[in-house]
Amino acid sequence: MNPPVLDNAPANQLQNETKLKHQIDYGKAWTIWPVFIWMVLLFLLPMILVFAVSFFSRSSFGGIGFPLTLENYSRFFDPLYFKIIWISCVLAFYTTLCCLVLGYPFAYIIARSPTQYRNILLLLIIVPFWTNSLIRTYAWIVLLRTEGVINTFLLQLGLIEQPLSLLYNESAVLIGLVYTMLPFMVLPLYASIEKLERSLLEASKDLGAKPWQTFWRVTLPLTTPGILAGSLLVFIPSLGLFFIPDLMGGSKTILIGNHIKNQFLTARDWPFGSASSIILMILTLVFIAVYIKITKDKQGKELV
Amino acid sequence: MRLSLANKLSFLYASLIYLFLYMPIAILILYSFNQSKLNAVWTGFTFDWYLKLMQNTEVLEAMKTSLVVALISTIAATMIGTLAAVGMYRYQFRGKTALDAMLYLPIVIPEIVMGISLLALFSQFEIPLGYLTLIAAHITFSIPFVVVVVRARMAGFDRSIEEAAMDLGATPWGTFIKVTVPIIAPGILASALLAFTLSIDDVIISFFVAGPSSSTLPLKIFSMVKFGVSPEINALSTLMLVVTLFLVIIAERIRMRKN
Amino acid sequence: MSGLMVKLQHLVKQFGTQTVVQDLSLDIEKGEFLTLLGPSGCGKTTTLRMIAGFEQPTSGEIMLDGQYVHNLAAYQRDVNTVFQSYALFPHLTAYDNVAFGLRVKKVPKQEIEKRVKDALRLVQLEDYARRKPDQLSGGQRQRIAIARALVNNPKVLLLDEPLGALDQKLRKQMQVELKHLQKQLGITFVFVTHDQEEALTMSDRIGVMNQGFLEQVGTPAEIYERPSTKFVAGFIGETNLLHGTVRTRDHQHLLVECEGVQVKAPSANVAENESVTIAIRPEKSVLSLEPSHNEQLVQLNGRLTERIYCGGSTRTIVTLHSGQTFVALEKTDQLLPAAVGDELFVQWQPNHGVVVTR
Repeated sequence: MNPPVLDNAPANQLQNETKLKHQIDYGKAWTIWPVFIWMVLLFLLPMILVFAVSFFSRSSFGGIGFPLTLENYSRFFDPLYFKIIWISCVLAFYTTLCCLVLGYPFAYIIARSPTQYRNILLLLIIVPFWTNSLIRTYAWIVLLRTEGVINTFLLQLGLIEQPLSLLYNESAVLIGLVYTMLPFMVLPLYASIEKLERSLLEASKDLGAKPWQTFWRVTLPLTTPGILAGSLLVFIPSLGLFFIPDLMGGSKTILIGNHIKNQFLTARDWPFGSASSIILMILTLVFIAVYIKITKDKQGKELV
Repeated sequence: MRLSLANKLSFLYASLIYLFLYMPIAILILYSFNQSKLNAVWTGFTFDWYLKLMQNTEVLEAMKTSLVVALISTIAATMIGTLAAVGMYRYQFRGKTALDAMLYLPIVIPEIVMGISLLALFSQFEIPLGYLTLIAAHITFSIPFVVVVVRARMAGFDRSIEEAAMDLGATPWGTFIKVTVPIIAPGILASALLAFTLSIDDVIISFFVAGPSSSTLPLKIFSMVKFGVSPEINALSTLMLVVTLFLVIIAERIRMRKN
Repeated sequence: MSGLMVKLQHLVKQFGTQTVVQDLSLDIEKGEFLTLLGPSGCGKTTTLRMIAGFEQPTSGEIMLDGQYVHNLAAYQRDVNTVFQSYALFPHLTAYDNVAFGLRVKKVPKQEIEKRVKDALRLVQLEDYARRKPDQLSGGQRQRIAIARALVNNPKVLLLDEPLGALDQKLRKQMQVELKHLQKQLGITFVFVTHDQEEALTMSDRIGVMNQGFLEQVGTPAEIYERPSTKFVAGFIGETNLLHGTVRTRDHQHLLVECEGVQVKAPSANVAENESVTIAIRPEKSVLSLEPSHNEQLVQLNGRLTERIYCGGSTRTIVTLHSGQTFVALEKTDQLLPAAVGDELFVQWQPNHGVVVTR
């Protein structure tokens, strides 16, 4: 029962015109293209460039040249350079461990503190998280150096006769790294502990578990995502923070970050520096892949 | 209220950690007011180091560089990042996974890798290191953070609100300006503050892409620290801490208001 | 002022490989209150969203007041929507929400003021103009959402389960108000709901949807009294469905063999030996302790298994000899003197049964 006038030609024409108009969605172009172009030009392209450079040879005058080679990678089998990677990983591992051991009880206490204080306690962790890590490193130098605050204090009290050499060793680097990275560990830990339902702990108690049993069998397994996320957030930057070993370790402790920096700026061996960066990047991605695998597996198990 | 032993221990432990976090900073600030140049022994209160700082043209120059770079890169990164977050929320398209990865990787890989790769890019295309390269680098590392923050804000966004605007006759652009932006404004503002702080604080990436005449404030501090401790650095650090603290508090207030 | 307002022609909508609306054709008259009714996931909301312009049909055409609109964007169509979540702009006051559509259309300021005030008066919220959505109650938000859509004088108002979020009492009240508003303004309403009672009380016509298909379109009485498919019979109200096979047919009646007996049913377009289903509403059946000798009545025999008190009426469940249950409705003050376990007879007039084949 439709009036035949509706099916005439002008209506169809209108239909075709509007179809054309509709198919171009400017919104997509305007929102996605800027970021896409920017990240391709200033993130992807530079990464590819570094990858490419890592297969070239160092020419005289610190440039890059032929022949193409794998030598920049094979140099890492040299104990001298392998040791750099090894020590970097060990130090990053100790940093992560210290942060975890210090941070877990701390995060737990905050997450279980009365709600009215919780926000302010949290803010007190976030503030150092935002402040310049260089300045925070410098603050420790002020404390630890030979004429520093601690030595002066101890000398004045007469506890020591000679200033202790607190700075320029691996412990100092470790202190600096732990101090810088601690908030990165505490925040994800806090998030996962806070999510933990109190009723689960009560259920565990109710079923006769002693406090440490509850912790070991309920709290710890349920907060592993936070532990993993925190460890990742601490471990990876620890590998690359070159200025902490630079300033607190003297030139004695060379980590992979310092090594890369030196290859680019001092030794001017760009191909070797690039290869080192690629290795650092691969190392990082391996850790991320492991992290994703573990967290995915956990989720999978929970679903079954 | 009587505290149990466990509560007392918890309190003690938390206090010690806070002490560990704040003592170095507190001492740094305290010694920026100390008269002694050797600065380990307290000899009296003074503002001299702040005044000296204000006469140090190199420091002032670095401050200016830091501010200009932070301002420009914040505006650009916030604009590009916000558009990206909206687009990625709204549309499905080919290459979305790739774009996701390109926005995720810069956050997780060590900064030094990004720093040297940008250095490689700029020197390969013979772009002289200076303001331009600094700004470009800062925009690049800020964009992913802006996207993350704005996307988080959009996650709670009811899609039918945009549809309602279109239904009432607003064009897609009109909808974006009149409805989407005002609703996600707190997220945009928070992300801008984050971008600004990241830019003002950055050491590692700036270290590689700054030219000899375009040193930022953290880079200036880095080179000063290499020559040793001085009360001037303490004063400069204190100023930076105050600025950061100010920004953090504003950002936190915005975040709280959202909840 | 009758005439065609919306014409849906062979609409199909696919999401990936899934077809959510299948070959749907429907005419909606001017000034009509049409309800799309169906369970969740039946495609009713998708159909509404295609009329609104939020979804593009995979194929098929949509005509609005004589113009093809299926390729126009939502903001170019002369229809407005009341959303399930209301979708009020959280950053604007009630007044600014209502004025939004007029402002983007660049209506003169004075006219905006007048029309917004009228719209707010229409929904009795003049005093709440300055409030933000989060300072309004659920019912008030609902009214603002309606005012915001109506102020634009749309050709069609689309309502996507607008009463879903309200509590029972408020919902009943809003049903009456909405119906009243629609009569008063004469605007075509297309209303989507999964609540059959809502559909029956408010609509001029109902379209029942299931799994993407439009099963039946008709007035509430037609849908209720003469369901054309098994799904419609079962979805609208409570129904007893008896399955059987057609044995003989004449010009007036069918004889269907089901529950082991020959059941008389009204004539329908079916062949002999075809399997059919007879649908009988609980309130159309009568219970009796004694068999009736009236040859005209249909009569099945069973045992009383349960009585459920529902205020003025009582639902009495009878288990037939085949094991199938049959629900009858009795008046609570005129209950048959029978106890659980007693034998009794279920009787009804043959033409109260409805024969459906699908």
